[in-house]
Amino acid sequence: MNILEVKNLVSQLNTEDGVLHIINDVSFAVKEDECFGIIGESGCGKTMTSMSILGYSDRIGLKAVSGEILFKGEDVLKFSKKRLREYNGKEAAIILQDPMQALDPLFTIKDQMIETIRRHQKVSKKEAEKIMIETAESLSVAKEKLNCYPHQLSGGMLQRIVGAMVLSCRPKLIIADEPTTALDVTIQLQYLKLLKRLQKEYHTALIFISHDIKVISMMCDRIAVMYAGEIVETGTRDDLFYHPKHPYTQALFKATNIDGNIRERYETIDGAPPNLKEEIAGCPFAERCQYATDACISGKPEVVKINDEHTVKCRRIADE
Amino acid sequence: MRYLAKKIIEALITIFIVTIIVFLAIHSSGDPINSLLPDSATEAQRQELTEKLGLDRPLVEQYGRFVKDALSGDLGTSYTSKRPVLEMIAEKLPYTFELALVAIIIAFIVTIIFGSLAAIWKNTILDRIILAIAAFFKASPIFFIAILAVQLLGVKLRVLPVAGAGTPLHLVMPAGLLGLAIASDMTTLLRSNMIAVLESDFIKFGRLRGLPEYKVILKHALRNSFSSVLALSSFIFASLISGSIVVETIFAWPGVGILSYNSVISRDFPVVQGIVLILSILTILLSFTMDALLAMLDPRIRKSV
Repeated sequence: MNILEVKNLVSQLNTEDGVLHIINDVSFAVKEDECFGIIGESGCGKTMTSMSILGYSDRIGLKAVSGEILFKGEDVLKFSKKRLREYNGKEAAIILQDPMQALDPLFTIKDQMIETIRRHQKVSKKEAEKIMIETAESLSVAKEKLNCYPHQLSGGMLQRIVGAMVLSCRPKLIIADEPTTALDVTIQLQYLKLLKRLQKEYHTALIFISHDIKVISMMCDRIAVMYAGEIVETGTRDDLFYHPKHPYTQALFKATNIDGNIRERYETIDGAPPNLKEEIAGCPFAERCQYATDACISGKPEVVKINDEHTVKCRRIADE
Repeated sequence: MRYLAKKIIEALITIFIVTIIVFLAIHSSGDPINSLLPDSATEAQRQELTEKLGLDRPLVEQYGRFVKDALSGDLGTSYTSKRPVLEMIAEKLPYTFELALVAIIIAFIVTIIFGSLAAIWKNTILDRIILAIAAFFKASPIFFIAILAVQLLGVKLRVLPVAGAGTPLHLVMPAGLLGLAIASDMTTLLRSNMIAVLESDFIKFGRLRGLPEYKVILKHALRNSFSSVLALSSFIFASLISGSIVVETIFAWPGVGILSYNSVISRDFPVVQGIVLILSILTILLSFTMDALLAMLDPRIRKSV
């Protein structure tokens, strides 16, 4: 069962300098209980996609031009403000990148957690406190920490608290937007393992967003590769790992020292992502692609189905 | 607590410096013997009074006596009315205090309402109107606005009394104008702070936790942006005190302001000295109160030293 289906989403950001084509015909589906990864370099539209899924796009000036985002069959883009407030936190929640910035510095952790719990569940203060302590314990957050203010705690502790806050409302879908990027390297792995365990325990779907291929392949069952506002390849972890089809995916794996062997030097991808100010007529990766033909530059590639899970948007694969 | 202790020490040091400045300013403003004795006084009489007042003593000793007298409530005697300065100020101070307090309350209410509205609907017509009115109050001298208000509300429409004290209606124009004058600075400050706060992650996360918008604004955004307004309140109170002198004079409000105006005109130095001393201490106490309020709002300040 799919809990979330994004269908042909096209979104634009209106800036002073003109229109930015942020999300260009993005489609993917997330199943209940699965961890779905979105990988791509910065500025490729990962975070903008997650904001759209949460119905937050209007607030940041992102306009959905066409397409739909179906959460359990309901279009998030058509949610009323009231419906959206129910949806946010209770059905779909997010863990932001920097836990140091995610909590209000003027209130205790406890205050903000109880505020969240009582927003979505009709419980007394005492019951809310019980839920809070239980959830905090499952993320190994000690009870005493709950009386602290955010500035008194470390980034790792705060990110666990944010996790507890999100999980306390038992959402069906959690988006984790680079949740470990702002943490110390030493606790990154610890946090990821915790997140993975809780995702299984609480039976939620998790959309995991990262630019780090190692982290993504450790966490996710299925992975989508995003480039310049388009999803260029989707597949299971093994599909992408062992049989990457899109030249960008291949280059991405090459650029990362994924097999653990120490290489003399990392491969890099020549060139830079395209300017999102102009609508791209062809494949967005064409300019950097070593296999690109004239057809790649002039026309959009079709989505090619390799197997049930594995799809790729590349003319070269289609021609084979 | 260490924060408050630090602030108390700071306040005491400031008061100490104020007494030195007041003392030196008066000392350097000329020989008081000239104003105390008639021109026909003999050299012996002048000598006698100088010794009696201790003016022949070293400066430090004179300062010590000034502080000692001030602490025991003796701020000297007025040249013009021959009454004790403290008594003269004490009977006027409640009026000034009332005016200042009501002005502060008005300023805070106006700031919170209009600063928030302008921030939430930034770059809309409402925001521009609020900013334009704030700019008008900031740019125009308070006596000018006061005269306009008197003409319109007091003389043309006859809805408010133009001068004096006694009823709450008498307070409306002076306290309202004074409040608006300081609110103009605070409103633009709150607006820009809140615009920045509204863009921060914890507001975004608050909304994405599903919190209703009123809670996001009133609880989280307002509190976070208001603390920086409080942090700047010392500057605001300085303009409150100087503004009150102008406002009191225009509206014949029987407070310290009008007394100081009269004393300056008649070169009644002991009274001026007393007023400057007491108003300075009042300002220092007010900013101390705001610092304490700030510490109540912001746990990071409480813990830091």
